[in-house]
Parts: sequence; C-alpha cells; structure tokens
Amino acid sequence: MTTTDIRTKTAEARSLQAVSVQQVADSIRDEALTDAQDRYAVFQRGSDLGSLLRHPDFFERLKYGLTVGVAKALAANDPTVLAVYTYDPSSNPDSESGDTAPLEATVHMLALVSTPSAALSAFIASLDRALTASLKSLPAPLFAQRESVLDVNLITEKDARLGIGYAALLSSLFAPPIRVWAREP
Amino acid sequence: MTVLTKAPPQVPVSSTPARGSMLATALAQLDSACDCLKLDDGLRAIIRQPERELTVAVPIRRDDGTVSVFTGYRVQHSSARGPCKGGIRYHPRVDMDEVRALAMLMTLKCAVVNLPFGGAKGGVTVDPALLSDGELERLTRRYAAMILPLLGGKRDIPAPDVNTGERTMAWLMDTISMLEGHLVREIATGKPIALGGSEGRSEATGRGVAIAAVEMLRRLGRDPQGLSVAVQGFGNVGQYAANILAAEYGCKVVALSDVSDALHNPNGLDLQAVTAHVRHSPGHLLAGYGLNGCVDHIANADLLTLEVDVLIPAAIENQITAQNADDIRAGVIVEGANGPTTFEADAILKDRGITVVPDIVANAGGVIVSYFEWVQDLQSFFWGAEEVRAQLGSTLRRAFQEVWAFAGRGGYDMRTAAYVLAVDRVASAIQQRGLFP
Repeated sequence: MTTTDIRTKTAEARSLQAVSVQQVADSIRDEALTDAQDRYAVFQRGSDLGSLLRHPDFFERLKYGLTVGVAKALAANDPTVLAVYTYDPSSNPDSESGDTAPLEATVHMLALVSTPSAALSAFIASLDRALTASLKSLPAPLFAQRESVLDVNLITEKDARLGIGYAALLSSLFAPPIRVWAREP
Repeated sequence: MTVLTKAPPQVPVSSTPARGSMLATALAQLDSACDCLKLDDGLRAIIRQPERELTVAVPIRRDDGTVSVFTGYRVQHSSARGPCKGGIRYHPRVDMDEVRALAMLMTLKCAVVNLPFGGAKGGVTVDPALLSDGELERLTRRYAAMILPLLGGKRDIPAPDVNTGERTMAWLMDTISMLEGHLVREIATGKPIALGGSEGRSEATGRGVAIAAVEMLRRLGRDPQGLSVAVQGFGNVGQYAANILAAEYGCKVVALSDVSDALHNPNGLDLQAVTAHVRHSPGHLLAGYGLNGCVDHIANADLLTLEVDVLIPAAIENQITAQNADDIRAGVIVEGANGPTTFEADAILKDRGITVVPDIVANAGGVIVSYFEWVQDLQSFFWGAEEVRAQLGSTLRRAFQEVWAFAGRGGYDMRTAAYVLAVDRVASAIQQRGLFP
C-alpha cells in the first residue's frame, strides 16, 4: 500500500456518513497511517511501511492516530460518550534513566461516559474486532497475531470525581492521560 | 451493522480536567516531615520554597509555516546537596504548580537514597501527539536554549519524564553542545547508550524493587527462599522484579497481572514461560498464556487481595484504596509504582500491621542508575552492566538500611521515616553550608 493509495482511500472514507464497522475500521487505520507519515521525521519518511512500523516513534504516532479515530467513532455513535483519553500504563514509575519499553500494540483508552451501556460495550467490541482485522493487513508482526488491539475502559463522571478505578488516572501525577476528544458542552 | 462516521463537535483537546493541588499535597507531606524533625521556621521556609523558577516562552515554526508559542517551565527546588536533578515532561496539563511539586519530590527522592543531587523538574505545556517529529525537535531545542541559563552538568541535569524519552535528551544534549562548542554528555541523563547513556537501565527499577523486597523480608526475619509473591503490573518493572526475586532469591511468584489478564498458581508460576510468552507475543501482554489450564485466570482486583507474603503493586497509581485495604492479606507491600497506595489506605494498612516499603525507596533504582550515567559521563569512563548492577545493589541496600535504622530510632513507619530522613538530610546540608552571604 502506498501513501497515495492511503490518501485516496481516506478521502473516500470521509465522504461516507453511514458505513459498516469494517469500513470505519479501515478508515481509522488509513487516516492514522497518513497522519503518522505526515508527522514523522523527514529523514525517514521515504522508508517502506514495514520499516516505518518497526520504528518506535512511527509506531507510537500510528497508535495515537488510531486512538483519535476510535475516539471519534465512539463519539459519533454514542451520545453518552463525553470525552476520550489515551494513557500509557508503562510510564509509571520512573523514566529518569530513559529506559524505553518494548513496542506494544494495544491502544489504551479511557472513555468518559454519562452512563455505561451494553450497547457502547458491544460497539467497542465490534470495532475492536474490525480494527484488529484491518491492522493485520499491515506489514507489522506486532499486529499479525493479535485478537484484540483496543483496551477501552468506560468511566463515569462520578468515578472521576471519587477517583475510582481507572478514573483515578485522570488525576494521575506520574502517568497522566492525554485527552484526544471531548464533546462540546 | 452500520455506524456513523462523523463525530459531533468537540472542545479543543488541550484542556484537561481540574485536579486538586498537587503542590498543596507535596507541601503537606513536607510540613509533616518538618514537624517530626521540629525544624525551626527559617529552615522550614527555605525548604518549602523552590530556589529558582523560570517560565519561558517557546516559539516554534510549524510545518505549515505558522508560528506557535508554547509555555515552558524549569524549577530548581534545592541544590543544597548537589546539582539539581529532574525530568522534563511534555503534557497539556503541565503548569508551574505541578512542576514545583515534582521538583520538591525529586529533592526528597534523591536525598532518601543519598545521591549527591538536589531536585528539579521541567516541562512544556503541549500535547506532543499533535506535533510532527520536526516540530517536536524544534520545540525541544528552543526550550533547551531558553532554560540553558539554569542548566549545567554541575548545576541542573534534566532527564526524560512523561512523553519525553532518550530522543528528547539527545536533542537537548546536542543543542547545548552546539551552543557550548563541545560535547557535553553530562548535561542530561536518559540518553541513548551511543551518546553516553548507561548500561543496565532497563532492569534498574525492577532490580531495585526486588532488592527492597528482600531487604525488608530479611529485616522481618524471613528468608525470601520459597516465600510467595504477587506482582500487579507485568511491564518492565514488574517483569524484572518478579524474575529477579525468583531467579536470584528463590521466591515463588504465584500471581501476575497486566491490563489483559491476571494469572494465579498457588504452587508458583513458570516465570520463564510467562516471560517468554510476554516477550514474544505480539502485544507483549499476558493474554493468551495458560490457556491449557496450567494457571487460574483471576480478576485483576483479586490479585491485590491474595494471601501472599509479598505484594508488589507495579502498575499505576491509587490501586490500594480505602475500599480494598481491609482485604489486603499480604504481609509486606513493596511499592514498585509511584503512589499505588492512597493516603487513606496507607493509614488502614498501618493499623493492620502490614509493612509497606514506600515508592520513594522501592522504585529509586531508576534515579540511581541515572546518577551512574552522570558519573560515567563526567569521567568519560563507561561501566559494563555487571558494574552498574553491583553499584545499584550496594547503593540501594545502604539506603534501605539507613531508612530502616532511622525508622527504628524515631519509631516511624517506613514511609514516614523515608520522608523525614530525606528532609533531615536536606536541612542538614542547608544548615552546614550556612546562609550566603
């Protein structure tokens, strides 16, 4: 797959309003790849996709792009989604010595919802299956044998206020999540 | 199944939820330690206030030709015991109060393990995911140039922190080196090994956690051989801690967890097999291990309440809370993560007689190896992994013994002892140096 192919497919995907989950997943993948390539270091942009996907910085950029795409898909399909965050569970406790964790394909997210619902959980599971299948087409061993790539934890405003479970991460000092999407009040 | 692809309007992503003041919490901890020491008001006032703070504008040219201006900070909390040491974080939530609080914690962390460093912290209020690599590099270089008046291998030594890494430190070091006209490896730690980074850093924090656990067990009169261990979080720290405890001290690791699964086998897990599975599985996760029935798959929360000799929370903050502290059945808790135990839970554990080795001691392996990197860079003489391992062991064991002895003398629990000892060391340095002029 070339960059031009990806851009064309992304543009096609943008024009669709109601499509299948698999199409949404493919679109998320393609937009994430385009964004990662656009933002990646100029020196290495010419490398083939397989090489790029082995580079930690490119891989992390791809994961961030996937996070953004998934966040938008969740928000578009469920009005209870108020905000979506991404976090890195490996960043605690101490990065003073600059150790880098091995590449990890899971996309860790927190979805702040007004009310958790089985419908949203089912949609996440469906999107996860589709996205996992979509990512298998990439020349990346990290995706090849995956059965799941999304780790989305639903949290409520009450959880966040009381610091319960994963919601406590929102006020984390050592592994603070980054908000990737939030609904307008 | 059809789905919608157009997300509803959203607010700008750089805003984040409000939090309680971390600085107020850090100052409260400091005050509590000062009270224990009965420090006079003058000394207390010196320690409470950062020595130096700098706010800088960091303008960069974006890839589309426009200019964006970000805000950066560098706070030196204390240089009483040596050059200020502390990481640089990139996050939309970074503000001066957060950086002040973290700088103070670095002073205490370095002091408690007796490193010849003070504390500092820096950061830029930015969501790095929204910048291209080129923009990130320009941001780092401009920020480095803006805080350069504070930096120096004998004044203030940055390191990676949230959303920064060895690449960031390489850019920072290169920028300072270009401006100085010569290579200054010692200006930062956490660099790539090719640029003066240290060997042994991958295992540093996990090895430190294992050493802290063993030191505590021995002081409680228990031989680590055969004792049961549960580890929450099988990332870098948890993996090394579990493997070192099993391979070098004969502990029986009976439970492990990560975001994907929690494994339990009261007879001991086959750590070699689990580690090989995690290292070779595509997602580096526990999921998929033990499907043949060789282990029980339990809920992550249940791992914390298993009846074990040692519990190592090595995942994220606030895992042991007022809600589950009464159910904890471990004899010893060794905090591999930062802040895994809430304030309320800590009080409950103390009442129940459960010994806690606090994070400030247990996970100090990273900052200790960071210190070794600085030492090697200053000498341009680089150690092998074995040397790093040996020095880490002796430094941490000595530090543990000092905290333990201090706790015994003062009648403190380990956490209080660690904080009070750290403040005592900083206060003593200030007192002995005297007040200039």
